[in-house]
Amino acid sequence: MMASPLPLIILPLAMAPIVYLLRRWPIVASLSASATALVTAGICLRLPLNDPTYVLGRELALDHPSQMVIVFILVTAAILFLCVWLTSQSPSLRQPLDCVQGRAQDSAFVPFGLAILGLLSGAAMMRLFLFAALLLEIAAIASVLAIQGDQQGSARAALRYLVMTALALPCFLVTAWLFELHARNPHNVALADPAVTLLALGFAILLGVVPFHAWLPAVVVEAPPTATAFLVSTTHPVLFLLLTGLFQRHPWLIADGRAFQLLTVGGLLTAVVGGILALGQQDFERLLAYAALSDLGCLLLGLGTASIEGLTATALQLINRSLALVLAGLGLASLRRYAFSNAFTDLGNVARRMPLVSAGLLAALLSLAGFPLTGGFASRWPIYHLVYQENHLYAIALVLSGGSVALGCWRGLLALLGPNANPELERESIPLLRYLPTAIVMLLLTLLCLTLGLFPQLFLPPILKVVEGFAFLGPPR
Amino acid sequence: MPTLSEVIARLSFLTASPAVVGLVVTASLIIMVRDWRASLAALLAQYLLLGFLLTRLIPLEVATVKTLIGALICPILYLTARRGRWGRQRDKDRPSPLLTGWEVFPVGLPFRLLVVVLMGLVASSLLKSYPLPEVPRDIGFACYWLALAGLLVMILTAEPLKAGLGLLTFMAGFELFYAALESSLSVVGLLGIVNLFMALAIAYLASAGQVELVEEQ
Repeated sequence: MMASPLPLIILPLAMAPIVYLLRRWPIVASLSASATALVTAGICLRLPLNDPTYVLGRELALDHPSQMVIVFILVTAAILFLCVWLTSQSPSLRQPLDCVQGRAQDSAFVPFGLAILGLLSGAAMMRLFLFAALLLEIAAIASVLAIQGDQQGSARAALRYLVMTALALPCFLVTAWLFELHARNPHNVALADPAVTLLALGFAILLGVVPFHAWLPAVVVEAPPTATAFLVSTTHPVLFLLLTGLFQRHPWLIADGRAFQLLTVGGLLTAVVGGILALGQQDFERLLAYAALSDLGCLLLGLGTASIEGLTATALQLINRSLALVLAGLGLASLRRYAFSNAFTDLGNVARRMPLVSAGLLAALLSLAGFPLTGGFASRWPIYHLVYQENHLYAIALVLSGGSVALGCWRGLLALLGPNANPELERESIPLLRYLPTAIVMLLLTLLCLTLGLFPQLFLPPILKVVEGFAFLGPPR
Repeated sequence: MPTLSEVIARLSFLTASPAVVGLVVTASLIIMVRDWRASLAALLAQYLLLGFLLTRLIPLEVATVKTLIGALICPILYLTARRGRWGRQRDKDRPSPLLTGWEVFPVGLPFRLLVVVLMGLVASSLLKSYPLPEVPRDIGFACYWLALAGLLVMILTAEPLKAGLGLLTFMAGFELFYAALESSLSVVGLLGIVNLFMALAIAYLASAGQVELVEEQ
């Protein structure tokens, strides 16, 4: 039996240049990337747990939570790589250059995506936070290339992301040094304050918590939708894993309590701002960005409750979030390809022309809003309960934030059903056969999203097993 | 032929206040100068001066490696800027090499000069209120100065190359401080990789962004 977890880093990194060379053939590139991700996930499941390997004298080990997170991000990435194939192989109604209006081909992010997966796996397994932070930063730089893809023109989103993630690195490195000092002098309370502040700042910047969220809408608008979905749905689970891992290894963070207060305040602010901004958007891209922001706020509030139930709900929410983002990414990519726009004013009558794509996109957005019957509701409901026990107003604000996103979706639905407001975009009808594979995958993902909403208990056993590993939280309430 | 240690010994006067003054000048040039050759020359000088300052905090060999990484970054950006003719899009009527234009809001030379002066005040008050641990006072000032200058450049421009210079200046300021905290070679190596990748990403974004500028023209 293979013992070292190194293949989880090396295999995706080694395949990245090969896939890069293959990217002229999107089908081959996507399928090989997807196969690599799935093979790596298979290897990860077969690896023994808690069997450390040393790289440059630093401990690298796979425990149960990191194994689950790595498998999750690899499978999510595999699905997204397949989605790239679907959106690139369907014939467009216009010439490609017209169709994408200078935007990159979706497939350009695939090789960088593989490299990011390798680096994220390394960060998830690294025992020393300092090295995990450095690997995260290298992954963030690779993400810049994924965001830009082959796109010629504006580099605003990628630049913003690069700048923001670079600002997070010093916070993490100094935090790691302060943690080390604190381990040597546990009674030095003066170290706790800057350590917690810098830690919170670093994570807030990388997660895109308000007011460090400016990169998120820019990335959603400029990057290929599947690349955005990839970026958020793979990076955020690893960030949450690292954060909970820090709580586990440094119990004084729990005793201090300020970290959880910051999580709650940051989460509340993010949820409220995300909800308010989502309500006023005029296109699906920005609506998705702010819906994701509102959802992130909910995740932080869930974790901020510092309870087993909160962590369980947060983990379930992360799964829902990734699923919703994959679905929304595929929907947005289809709209860009067939409807040539994501603006509400340009999408009149699209619901009738592309019913499955429209339904899938709305289901994804509603799931991010925590709308009843969707997956998002199942994970948000326990968070609402837990937050309500701590502060009624916070819970109401959280519900209103979700409601606000749902209202934004309602406006989107009206736009999709309404008449075509832009006569210049008079379109021919889209035969279902043209986008049938995309529609089938969207249908399956929509059904999965609804299943998560109706039967969340089906997905709970593996989550509960992961959460059991985090003994730092108190017993169930 | 003198060894590296002998060269450094001869230039030891540069490891003290002159290097800090030099860093103040180079960072100010990066903020104020439009000409890409001058900006990149200032960045190169900045990495060399940082190398001298680092010899006070870390072993000479490690400081040399850090300086070499900086010296490698400059050609990457130089080639990108030269290939993309950075700055040419606003070269109407052969403007001054200093930043004098009014863009969205006035961020021309007078504004930048004023901001540089204010930045000096902020850096010294930060040093007074929050002295950096493990580093001498003059190096602490250089760290604050470089980090603030980097942030300022990033705030004042949307051009990937210019913003990239700001980012690298910010990172240089941080690394000067961090070198005193963490001496592990693997961390130094990984930070070097981060810096190199950052420069490559900046070059990539600058190349992509220049197409837009050509189209605008």
